[in-house]
Amino acid sequence: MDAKGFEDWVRDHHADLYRHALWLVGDADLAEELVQETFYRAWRGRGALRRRQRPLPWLLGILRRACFAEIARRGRYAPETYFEAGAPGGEDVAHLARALARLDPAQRDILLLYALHGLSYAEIARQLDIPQGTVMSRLARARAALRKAWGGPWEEAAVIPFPGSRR
Amino acid sequence: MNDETHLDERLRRALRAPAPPPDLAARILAQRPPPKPRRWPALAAAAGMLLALGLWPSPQPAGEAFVAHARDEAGLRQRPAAPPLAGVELMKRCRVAGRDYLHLRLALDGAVVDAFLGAPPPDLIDQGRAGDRLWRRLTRDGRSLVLVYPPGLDPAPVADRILAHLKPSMEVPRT
Repeated sequence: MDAKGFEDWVRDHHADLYRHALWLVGDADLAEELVQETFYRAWRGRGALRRRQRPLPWLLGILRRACFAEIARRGRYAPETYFEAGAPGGEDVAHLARALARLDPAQRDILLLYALHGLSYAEIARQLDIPQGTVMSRLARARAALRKAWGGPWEEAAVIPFPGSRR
Repeated sequence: MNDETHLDERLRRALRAPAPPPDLAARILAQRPPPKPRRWPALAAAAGMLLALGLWPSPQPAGEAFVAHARDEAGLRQRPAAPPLAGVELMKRCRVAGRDYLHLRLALDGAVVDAFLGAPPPDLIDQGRAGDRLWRRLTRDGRSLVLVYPPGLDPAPVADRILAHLKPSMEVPRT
């Protein structure tokens, strides 16, 4: 992968990687640093990406490892500073931040892989190194927990494909 | 639209609401390679000072690119940093109201001292344990070092060791 290809990666994926880090660690400054760190490592390790492999799952793998290392070091999740200080999205987004704070990091992570990036069950299974059936059950539990914490008129239901995703 | 799909749509919309800073992509591309100044230039300078002092915590609390930049800031590229001092932990590096600060926790002879370099928010200081005392000193150029220390401990040696190494060029925000 050459410099031009790397620029395409950055332009195509930095925003979603930033969002993933922001929602996962709950700190905007830290999210920025984690995204920069991800691309720095990606550039240095670009030879490991197989030809025709999609870069996003690979970049997500780097980012998520860095995020979980940071979560283990910090031991807390406090997104209020960002999400309740005039961040875009209004009250529903601030409410979601409070709801996600009640979920454990692994539940936030799988919801992000599913809803933010639209990864397929198979891709999530590879990210988490677990069987697809386990992905579905974990996702169902995460969504149920989110539904309870976020509020709304939803009833318990089976996991269905996210609109537009490749499942 | 059923309830589950409704939840997914609402979730997807909310998750995509935050946007990265508009210059983030440019900054990423500018630092590749070699690593260039990243976020928190003031903190990189402060971290460089900690590296030079041997106050940099172990295990490593920051990414390698940040540390590389901090080493550059401290002029450590050509010489090794001092060996890490046991009992020092970097608790937080943060930007509040446009100001950066470092929160260090130092274990000294059995006592725990919280050191804030830069501009710690008052509510963070207020979280100090009951009975702790606050000690503040301004450096010659107006920068601030705040220590939260337990009664009975003389904070001056701790502060002196840090302040003695503060350089005028270090961009710790003024308070």
